[in-house]
Amino acid sequence: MRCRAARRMMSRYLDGELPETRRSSVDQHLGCCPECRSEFAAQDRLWNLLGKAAPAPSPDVFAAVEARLSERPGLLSAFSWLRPRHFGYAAAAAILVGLAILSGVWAGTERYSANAGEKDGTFAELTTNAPPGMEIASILEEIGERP
Amino acid sequence: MTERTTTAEQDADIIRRTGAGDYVAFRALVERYQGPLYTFVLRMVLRPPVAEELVQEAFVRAFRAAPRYKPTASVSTWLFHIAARLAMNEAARAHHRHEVTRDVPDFPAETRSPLEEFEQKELSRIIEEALAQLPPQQRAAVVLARFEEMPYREVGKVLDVSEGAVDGLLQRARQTLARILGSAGFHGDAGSTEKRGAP
Repeated sequence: MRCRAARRMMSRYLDGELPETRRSSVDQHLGCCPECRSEFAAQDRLWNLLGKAAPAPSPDVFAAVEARLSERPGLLSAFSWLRPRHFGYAAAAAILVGLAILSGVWAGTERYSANAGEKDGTFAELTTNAPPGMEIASILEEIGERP
Repeated sequence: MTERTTTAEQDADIIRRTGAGDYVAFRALVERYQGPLYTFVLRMVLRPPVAEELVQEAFVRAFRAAPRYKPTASVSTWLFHIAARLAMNEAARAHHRHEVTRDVPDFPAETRSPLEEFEQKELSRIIEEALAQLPPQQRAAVVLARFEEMPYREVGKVLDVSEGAVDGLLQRARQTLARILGSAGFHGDAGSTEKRGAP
């Protein structure tokens, strides 16, 4: 292997990205080329020097992200009720809606019962006054109560 | 099951739930990745307020894109990809404006004595300034490969380039950094305790 080829592989060699066969070839070259050996060692030290830069402390960005999402309609509103601090409000709203529906159903049932009685009367009258041989189905059709 | 696999599976679950509108999962995603993303973006743009804003924007975009996430890349790579695009655009804008970055962040030192702390801060400052002189794509490749210790394949996915291109970016970056740090009196003689496959 020539110096040029070895140095082309230097980055991958130092970062452990070279397949074993090529790595062996570079090792062989480094064993007999002091210039390349020196260059590889300098680059390795440089890479390690970069690692001495300490990582920065990270700020907590969640509140700001949340605010940004709230600023853009449609992004967060779809599930904003899922926020833990809104669970109480959501539960209270659900109970109120449930009670409203139940009271509506109850009132509707009362009215329906009254109407049903009237209809029963109509039906009874029709069936009573029905000419002989008239089918029940045609009577129901007449009063709009198709089976 | 390896730790990496477990993390990948947890991430996949978190992103699936985020995509379905699970706010708690989204919070977990932010808390898990805000540190690595902020460190990466800060090393790209070198201004803490700008870095913080870009990380926020990256998470907003991730939230919007979560329902369409496809597991062709890991969640980590996907998030870095979003952040890298924002950071490189900002770095390129600064580069075209010929801004001389002097707002180098005050990285904390993990040393004991005040002298060592000063030396660590000074070293970090010089390294960050050297990185700032690299073109944005080379800078991103160095930060991802060296600081985030990503394999070239992952770096390529984050930067939308091939593994060969990553290799080229890193080779050119190494040459430039050697010149800059060499002229600043550093020849990498601070010890070689963390090398990967060194000769």
